[in-house]
Amino acid sequence: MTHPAPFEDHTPDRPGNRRRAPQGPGDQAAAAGQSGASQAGNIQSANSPRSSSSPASVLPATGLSDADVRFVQTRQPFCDLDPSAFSKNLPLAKILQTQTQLRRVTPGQVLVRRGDYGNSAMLILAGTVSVLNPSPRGQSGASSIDSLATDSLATDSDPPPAKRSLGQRLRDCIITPKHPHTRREDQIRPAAGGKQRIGQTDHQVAMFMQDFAAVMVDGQHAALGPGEMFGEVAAMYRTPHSATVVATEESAVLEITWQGLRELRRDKAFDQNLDDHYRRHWLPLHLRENQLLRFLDDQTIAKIAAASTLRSYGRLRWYADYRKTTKRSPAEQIAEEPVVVREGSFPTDLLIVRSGFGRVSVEHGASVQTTAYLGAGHVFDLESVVRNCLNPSRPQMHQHALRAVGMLDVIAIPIELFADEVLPKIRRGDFPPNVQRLFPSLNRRSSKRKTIGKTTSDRRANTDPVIADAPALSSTSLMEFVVGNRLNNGPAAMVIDLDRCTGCDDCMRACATTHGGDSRFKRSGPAHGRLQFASACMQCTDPVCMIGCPTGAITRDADASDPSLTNVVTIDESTCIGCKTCAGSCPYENIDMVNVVNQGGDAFLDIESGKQMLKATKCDLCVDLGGNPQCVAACPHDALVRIDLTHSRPLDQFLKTRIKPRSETETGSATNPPSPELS
Amino acid sequence: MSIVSGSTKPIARPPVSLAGRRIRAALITVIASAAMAAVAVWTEQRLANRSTLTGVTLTTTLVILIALGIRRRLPGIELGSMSAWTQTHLYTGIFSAVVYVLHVPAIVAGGVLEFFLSATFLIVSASGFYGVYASRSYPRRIRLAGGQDGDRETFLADAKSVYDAIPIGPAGDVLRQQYLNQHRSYFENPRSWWFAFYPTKNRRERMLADLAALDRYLDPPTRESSAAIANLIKGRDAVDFSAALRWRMRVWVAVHASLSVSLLCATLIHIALVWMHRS
Repeated sequence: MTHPAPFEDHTPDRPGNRRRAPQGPGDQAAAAGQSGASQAGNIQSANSPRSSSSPASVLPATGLSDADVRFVQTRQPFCDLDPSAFSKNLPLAKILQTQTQLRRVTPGQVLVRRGDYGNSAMLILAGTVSVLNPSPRGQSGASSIDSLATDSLATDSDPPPAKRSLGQRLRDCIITPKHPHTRREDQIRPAAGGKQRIGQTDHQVAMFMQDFAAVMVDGQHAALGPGEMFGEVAAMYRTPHSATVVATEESAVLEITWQGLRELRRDKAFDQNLDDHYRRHWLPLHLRENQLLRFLDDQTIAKIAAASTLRSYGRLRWYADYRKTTKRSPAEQIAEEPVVVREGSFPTDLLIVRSGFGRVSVEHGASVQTTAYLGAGHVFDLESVVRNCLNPSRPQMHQHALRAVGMLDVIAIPIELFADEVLPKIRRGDFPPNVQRLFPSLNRRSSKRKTIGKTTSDRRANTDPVIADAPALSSTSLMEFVVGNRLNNGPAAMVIDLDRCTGCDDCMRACATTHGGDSRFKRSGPAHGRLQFASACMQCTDPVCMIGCPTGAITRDADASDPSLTNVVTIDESTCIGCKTCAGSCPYENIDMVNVVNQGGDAFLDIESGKQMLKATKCDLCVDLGGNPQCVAACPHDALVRIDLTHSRPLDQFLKTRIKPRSETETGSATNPPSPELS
Repeated sequence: MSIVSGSTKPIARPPVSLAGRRIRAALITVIASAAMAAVAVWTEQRLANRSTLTGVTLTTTLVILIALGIRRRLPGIELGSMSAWTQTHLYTGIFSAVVYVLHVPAIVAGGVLEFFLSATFLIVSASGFYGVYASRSYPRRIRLAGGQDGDRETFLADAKSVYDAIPIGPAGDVLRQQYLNQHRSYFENPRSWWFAFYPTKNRRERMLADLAALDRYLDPPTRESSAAIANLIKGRDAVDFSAALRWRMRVWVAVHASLSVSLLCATLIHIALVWMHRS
């Protein structure tokens, strides 16, 4: 068994080496309220969630003063850090000065909210905060709350919107708003009985828990005190916060950006501490999420967690240079992507993608050809790994290379451990066909099983591998187009078949009718052959729009422990302050900022600032209509579909229903070699 | 099967093979038509009135056909997808043509109302077949032309910037003159209404030929401007072509829907008259 290496960071992001991208929350927040002059005519004022020129941001506008830095350096854990571990160009003091921010928080103020994404960690300098609602398995950013039970914990987010009644739907069809972006006042103002309210602390926008005292009395919570840190896992590994943290009393916290955290990890002890924490609390959870490992007992999972390494490649802020990158040719893009596994190398680990995107490729002629793409949960080259486990005397090298597209986090399980602990416990039928073929005895059993069963669909249901094989797209150019444009981020991408779309705009009309007169997408976007990938929110697996929302208005209806949730990212307009953070972060430009008006067409103005209210809007997959997207339902020609592009199979299946074999050249088809991608 | 943690729940139905769906629907239509014909013949052999059966069936199909327009105006209500409704509309239309043949003594009836009724039915049916042809072939033509996403204003702005960038000199003067004489009006004005009905490449080819003929008077830098103008002409023509085909489809929808409503009204009058004179 190999000795686990510490956290391996192959990312090029280093503070000081790279300028802060303009899409940062601070930049966008500065634009809040600058929506221009109000429309002519009457103007309606409303109490609104207040926008601020400097909401709770992750990157400090000015940084810490020298005195602050000296003070912070006297506190844990900074007083224990080894100054010689940091480079002369970027010493500890400079990291603290540029990558941290001191914040005062007041009782009831929500510091992080469960389910939200963040890119900064919080270190408590003074006072206490409470961790509410830890995740069901007791995982959280703070080890002290691991023992908390879950049943009595209150949920911290508002419930998803209720399904619209038939009467409401009929009214929407009949009564069309006269003005675009029409809203009722109750739609743009936080409800009086809501679980959170928006306020300000030191001129910064902040969320406050409405019934904080009652929660502290009734609900279970864990207290965190000075020297304790939370939110670092969410910041560094692009995962949602597992718990809500609320200030119990007036406290001082130091907000550290993820870039700052990475620099601080140059100190070996600090790095080891964070790594141990991740390995103990988070890695087992991430391992359990993978279908390959779902039958393993806790003891085996713990062994794997102890021996595995998490490797990061590419840039966490891949979306900052998305537009520039997508303009490059596939060859130029591939040349810039960090290589995770080289073609022809010896498989030493089983690589499971934890987050991000990977490009599987082979050398083809004078260049490199994409054969598949990987996303969260996929396994790279399982076939070679299993083959080598079964026949160690005749090892097979990797037939493909793996590259990081944007960012890629992989969990590497040593192959010896996989052979000893994992492989014997996986049901053979769960493997994809290309791996099943490696087990001769299974093939005999499978052929017998095929005769059992009532119908074809029954047989298919019985024999479908749990670790489904997701073959590469039949068209190489289409696959490179999808990867190059990062469309594989979208589990619900809007795809339009241009050979069937008549341009009738029924889809946009249906969307507008069901969304108060606003269409939430544009019938345009990048096109490849007969497929157009329209500008509609794809409900990304890596939802960068959710990072940095100062009021938590943008949320995802998701929980790993509750499969009934929709996973849709929605924006609560009542708490949106129009800071444009989400719209600026979305690399696909699928979030629009709109000036809302009342039914008479009069602009809503913020009482405080006197400026016209801006609200962020995006496609919500019609969650309040039962999650049945009306754009799809309204298309009379089967031209518009929503497809999960995180896997190549759904798009391939879609194409097969439309493209005859002879016309495959339309999508730039080329014969692909067998793909090692597994999903 | 989606196993990606954090992925959206499956929201789309499994993709249906369009060819398979077409074959199934056509088969059902043929069987229904044959059954209808058999029942009509059987009814006649029993000396009953075949027209009553076919008339009621025809009226029912008309109502089903008209219902597509109502469904279209009710998004958000769970009445099935528009795609399913369109397929039903399409094959019910074909079925109704068969029932019409079984119902009428002559394809084009005599008498004012009956003539209007049969003529409208035939026109609506023909229009329906044209709609199927147009909706299946135009999108592909639009895509191959490459003008689905452009707009006139962009081309006008691009043309102006190319014009401004034409090099100074005698060769540039020649190209500028050509632009002012021929191209400016092309970029500034919309195409004629006739182009929407019958889009041709005549004007585009004429302008490109004139531009090519001008080539020998130009020097290399000016030729680059000339090539840029030629590309803009082609692009603008593609946009106009796409707009023309889409406009044609919109006009067809309006005409088809209006005639369908007229047909339903005439049918109701026809039913009332038949009822009044049923003895």
